[in-house]
Amino acid sequence: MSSKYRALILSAPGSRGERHFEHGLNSVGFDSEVLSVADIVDYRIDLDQLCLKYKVLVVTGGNTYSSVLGGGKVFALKMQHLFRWNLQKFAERGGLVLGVGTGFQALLHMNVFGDDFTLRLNETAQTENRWVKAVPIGNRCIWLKEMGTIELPLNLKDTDFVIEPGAFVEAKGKIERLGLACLKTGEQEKIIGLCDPSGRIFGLTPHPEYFLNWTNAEDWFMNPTRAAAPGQGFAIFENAAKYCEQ
Amino acid sequence: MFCRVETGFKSEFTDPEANLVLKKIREIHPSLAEKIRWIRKLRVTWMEIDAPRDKVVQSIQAAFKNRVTDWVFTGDLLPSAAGSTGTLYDLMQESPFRPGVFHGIEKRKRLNVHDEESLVILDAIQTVLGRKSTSDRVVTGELLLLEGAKLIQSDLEWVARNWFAREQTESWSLLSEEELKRNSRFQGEQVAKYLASPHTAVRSRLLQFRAPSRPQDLPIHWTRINELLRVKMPAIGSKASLCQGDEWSFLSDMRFSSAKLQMESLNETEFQLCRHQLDHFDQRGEMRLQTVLGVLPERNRLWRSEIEGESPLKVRDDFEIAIERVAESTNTPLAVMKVLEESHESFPAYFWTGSVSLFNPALLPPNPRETGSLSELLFVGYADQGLIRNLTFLSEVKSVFRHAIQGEAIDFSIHASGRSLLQCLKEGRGHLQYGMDLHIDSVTDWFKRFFESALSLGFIWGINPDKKEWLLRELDLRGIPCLSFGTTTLTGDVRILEGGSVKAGATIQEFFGVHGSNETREEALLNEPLFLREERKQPGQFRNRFATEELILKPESFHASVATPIVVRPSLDSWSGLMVLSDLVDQEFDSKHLDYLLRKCTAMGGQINSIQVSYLNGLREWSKILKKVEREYGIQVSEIEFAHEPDVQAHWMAIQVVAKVSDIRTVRTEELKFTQDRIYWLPGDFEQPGTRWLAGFEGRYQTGLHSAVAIESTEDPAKGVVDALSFALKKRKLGAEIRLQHHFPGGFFVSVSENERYAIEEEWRVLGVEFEFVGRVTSTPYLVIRNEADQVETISIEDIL
Repeated sequence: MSSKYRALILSAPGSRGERHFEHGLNSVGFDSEVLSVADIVDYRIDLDQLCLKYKVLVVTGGNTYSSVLGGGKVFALKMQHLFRWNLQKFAERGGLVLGVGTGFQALLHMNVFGDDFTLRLNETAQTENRWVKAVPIGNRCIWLKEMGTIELPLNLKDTDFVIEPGAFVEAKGKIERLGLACLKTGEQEKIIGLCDPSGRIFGLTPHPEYFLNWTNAEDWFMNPTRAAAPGQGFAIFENAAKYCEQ
Repeated sequence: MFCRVETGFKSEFTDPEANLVLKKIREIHPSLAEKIRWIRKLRVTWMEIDAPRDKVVQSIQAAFKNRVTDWVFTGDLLPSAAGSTGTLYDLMQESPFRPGVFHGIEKRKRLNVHDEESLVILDAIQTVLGRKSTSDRVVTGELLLLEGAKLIQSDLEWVARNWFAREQTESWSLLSEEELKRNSRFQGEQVAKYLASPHTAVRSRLLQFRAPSRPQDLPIHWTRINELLRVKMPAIGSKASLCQGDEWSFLSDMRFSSAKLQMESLNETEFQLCRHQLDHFDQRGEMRLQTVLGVLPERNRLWRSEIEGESPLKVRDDFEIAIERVAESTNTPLAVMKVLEESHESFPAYFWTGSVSLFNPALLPPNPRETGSLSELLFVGYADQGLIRNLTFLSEVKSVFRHAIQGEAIDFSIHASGRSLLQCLKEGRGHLQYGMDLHIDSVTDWFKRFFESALSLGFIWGINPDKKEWLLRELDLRGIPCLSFGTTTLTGDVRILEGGSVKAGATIQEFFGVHGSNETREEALLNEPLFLREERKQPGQFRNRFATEELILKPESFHASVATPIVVRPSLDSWSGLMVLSDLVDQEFDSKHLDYLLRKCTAMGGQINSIQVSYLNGLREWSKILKKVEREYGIQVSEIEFAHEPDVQAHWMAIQVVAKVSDIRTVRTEELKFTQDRIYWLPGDFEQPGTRWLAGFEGRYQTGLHSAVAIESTEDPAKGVVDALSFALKKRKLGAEIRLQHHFPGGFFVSVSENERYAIEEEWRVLGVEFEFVGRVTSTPYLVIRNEADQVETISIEDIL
């Protein structure tokens, strides 16, 4: 892939995993750049500039702004009111957006998937730190193209996906989503990722950037012959690269 | 506008954080947890936003509202964001026990505690508003909503203290059910109560420490003084370099000066006073403390003139006024100590003034050779008589001087009062060391004679030739006479020119060599007492028995007497201070007495800094003692005033011991205070670690001492011990039971309470301080002494004294 496609990795105070994203995106051929909120203000990157310069926007996760007012809330306010970015328009102009962890929450707060969804604190009120298996539901999502069940690490407090009760049936019928696999019988579907109708904006609670190599998996030594293989999170970035090449 | 925002989960959702609190309470206090039937937690934010109401509503909506899961209670700002009623009542409806008994515990961050959350919220609000403002304020907190019919106030307090609030950083309060249901807590004035400006609070707290009514243009740099006082003492054995002239430097920027004030004639007193003032004027130092020590008997030669009928008291009053005027005009803290001694009737009266001042190297004139600039020499003087007129003159000169220094018109200044011109030039060696030309053809005859005789009140200024006209005009405007009489040169010669031709000349070395240096001072000392024609009555009786009749100390005095040191706190911003012990000794002075003086300061907690002495018919023996002290103990000694007057039948030495005190609140007194205190003896040589411990160089339990008493080394050691204890016990009419197993050659007695003794004894052992338990303080005013042979002797304190 030629390096003309640039990726912007947006970080904020408290965010994590920027360098992992940079490594993952560069590995699949993007020319990625990590910029903080302050950098965006300094460089005056408005929506036009964003569309012009970058093909991919990654909203990083972590404990951005100490998760005050809810995870990703202040991050979302910055994008909406300080940068005046409209991510749907960015997607309409061919851009790809990925939000991970609280970055996904930020996308939810920005209502890029509609205003009927949110993530709320899980019942234990503790950070969930585990690996989750997920199944893509739908086939429009560019980021999950041709992917089966994937396993990714999760590190988040707000893991309960909530759909506005009044809009539940209608909303659920429309959305492209990443559902939790291995549900018990009778257990309600648990959503851990969401994609917009265009398939270009995708957010998920687990972190694909932390599974770029097979050795990132907690049980990789059970299958040592695959030590040099890429991780399942890598496939998500590869899908973005493939889309850009087309 | 002021607003309060409460955010919580909608009633259909559970509250995991509140459940976590309940879970923790259940683990520790199960019986209390049983009383809590329902619990909820809400985030509370108090805000003052400098924006219109609609903008504030918009920003709250954007920042706080989560349509799917949250309710936002804002009083009447956003009723639609909450439940059906817009109050907590909606939330209470979800309680399983209705109409239950509800309680609220509210916590908020204390003022001046760093509140990261509030900063982020403020940032978010301002992002939505699209502007930054320093007047916006936010305080965050939480509200715990509990339901339980059996919950009582103590239960709620327990929850608040142990599980909900961190009392160091958060304050909490209890809310009743009525308060929770009502919206009064959202009212502006209620919100404003929690939003007292932290900046104002901090400022008001700092204002407590502001020095009261200090003049704004005070020339003394107290901060600098404070820094100097924090300078550590040099290690014992270090050698200080002596400076030329009668200034002497200890820490290179601390100076002492002294002047003997002879009270024989009004004019002389006047000149000496002025001279003393000008000393500091010339040095451009910053004066810190001036003490005046003197002898003022009732009937002696201080009578200015018996014919005029002036009494000694009148003379004394004049003297005091003059000293105070000097102190006022120089902004100097002043301690006046008047020594009244009945047995001095046949001896002349002298006053010594001493001062400890600071020297600011930044104010020194630049080296002329380096700068290449030459100065013109100008005599600025006044020949009129009269103390008041001279003081007025001085204040005028001071104002010109200040302006001239600011305008860089004056390079240096030499005080000229009471000295011949040659003496003045000699003392200005620092400024004139590269040469000078003196033009005497233009000067008047009355000035020429000053080459040999003393000049009138005035100065010699080295002035910048470019600014000469301006300076002369300034002087002329104020009616201050002046005379230009020469220039500085870089030739290395001193030349006296008349009519363009050289009348006399010498090299700089010859010129300054002729007029002597510090080395010659030794010659001013006498080998032995010459004037002991009459046996003095009760020699030594007056030693250390001086009374302080009056003490004028500014800005603050802590303790004062002549026999005990004066402690001053020069800067109200700091508790560090100076301790000055002044004494007037005669030919009986010996090393033991000096040792006693030093130990007196040490007993009170002073760290000996230096000693300054002035002599009248000084003895070489004294100088040897002082040199020995300087050499062996590393204490800096400056001999600053020599007077040799064969007519006076006495030898006097005014001595000032200057010590530093790191905290004047810890200064100890010499009186034993409490009964049952344990009395210990500590050896008192300067090599002993005990002395260093008392002075505060080592250890940290010195504050545990109730008192420390220096024991005077007398010929009869027992007498020194008994005297020391008797004086220490006298004031509170206490007594002591002591066991004297051997003679105590000097040293200290310290008293320690029973509770403190273990810590202090342990520290002594660790630091290698020798100590010996001697006895205890008792409530009856008797000294019960048990000697080596176990014989008991009981003496009344009154009888001893």
